[in-house]
Amino acid sequence: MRKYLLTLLLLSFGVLTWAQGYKPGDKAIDFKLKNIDGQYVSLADFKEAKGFIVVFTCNHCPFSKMYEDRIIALDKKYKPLGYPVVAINPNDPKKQPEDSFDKMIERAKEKGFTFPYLFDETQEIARTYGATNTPHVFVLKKEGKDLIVSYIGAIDDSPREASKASKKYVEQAVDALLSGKEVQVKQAKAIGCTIKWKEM
Amino acid sequence: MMMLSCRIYRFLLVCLLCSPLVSWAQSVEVIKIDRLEKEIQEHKGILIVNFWATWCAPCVKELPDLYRIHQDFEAKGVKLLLVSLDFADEQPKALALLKKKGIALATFLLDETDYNTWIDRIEPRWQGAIPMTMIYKDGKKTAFIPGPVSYEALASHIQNQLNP
Repeated sequence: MRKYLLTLLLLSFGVLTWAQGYKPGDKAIDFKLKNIDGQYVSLADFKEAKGFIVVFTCNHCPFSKMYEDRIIALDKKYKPLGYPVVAINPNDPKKQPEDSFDKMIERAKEKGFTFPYLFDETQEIARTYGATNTPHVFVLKKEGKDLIVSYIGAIDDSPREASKASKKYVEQAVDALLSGKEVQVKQAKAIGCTIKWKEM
Repeated sequence: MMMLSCRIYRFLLVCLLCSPLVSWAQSVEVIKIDRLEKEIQEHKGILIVNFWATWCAPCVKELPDLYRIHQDFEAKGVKLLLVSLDFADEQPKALALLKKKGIALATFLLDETDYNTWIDRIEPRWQGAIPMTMIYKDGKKTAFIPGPVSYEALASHIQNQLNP
């Protein structure tokens, strides 16, 4: 019984021992993930890009849904300037059937996503980056061959009403990078849904 | 006649006394962060603070386990404080859900939507995903549990705190 409890304890608190993921200033790894059109996408494919707005998001999370239109708007505004949006769904569909690959295709069509919507099936990218929530943004800046993490966190400070956002964290970060300035706010936290990790 | 009314009165009194306290104990008070911090700091004994929301499936799923912990350890001075992160105008929704689950507790709804201003005040390691559970002893942190938690994990942590 004791052993059993200990195992359970270790399992439950195992969460705490995971790597913390990236911090601002770290070099991010590229990936190769399946897009909703069946093609595999890597950041290296975007030869012209100056950087990326990588968004871990999903179909089911109410906070992700609240931000969908704003994610589309970010892509519309910043893709022409060299910072396209790349969305990644890291959730285990076994835990949340809403977040299956087929449902991703549906959702993207419904909303008219203008950006890749990739499936992180092994969850390796979410873990490496240190994504914990949906939505969770990582702004990456290209420096030669490297991808430098320049901002991590929330899109803005008003999940429910876009019009009431007074701190547009992602926009401020990308604007700063585009004008060759230091990003002022490198991290901003927000409430969101826990990423649905696979059972170990 | 007199006898009868007296009987009715007594009957009513008994009814009143026997009526479940559940209906009185359930509440969702809308609060600000300062109030939550004060509650945490001033609680003597073990306090489990769980952040949840009606829209969060894993949160709702673990509520019964958390409530069982409360029932099983209340006598040992362990208190469960549920903190809803629903929007303030959805307070009735949170209350209805607690009622449906039969959770007879006084709970909070934290009305702070500028998340970046208070998440670190609770726990710098917390990125903001819910569910999230903190455990305190006499106002001091003893555990930070991001993501879902189980009855067993909480129970063994509490046992360790009670019998160090």
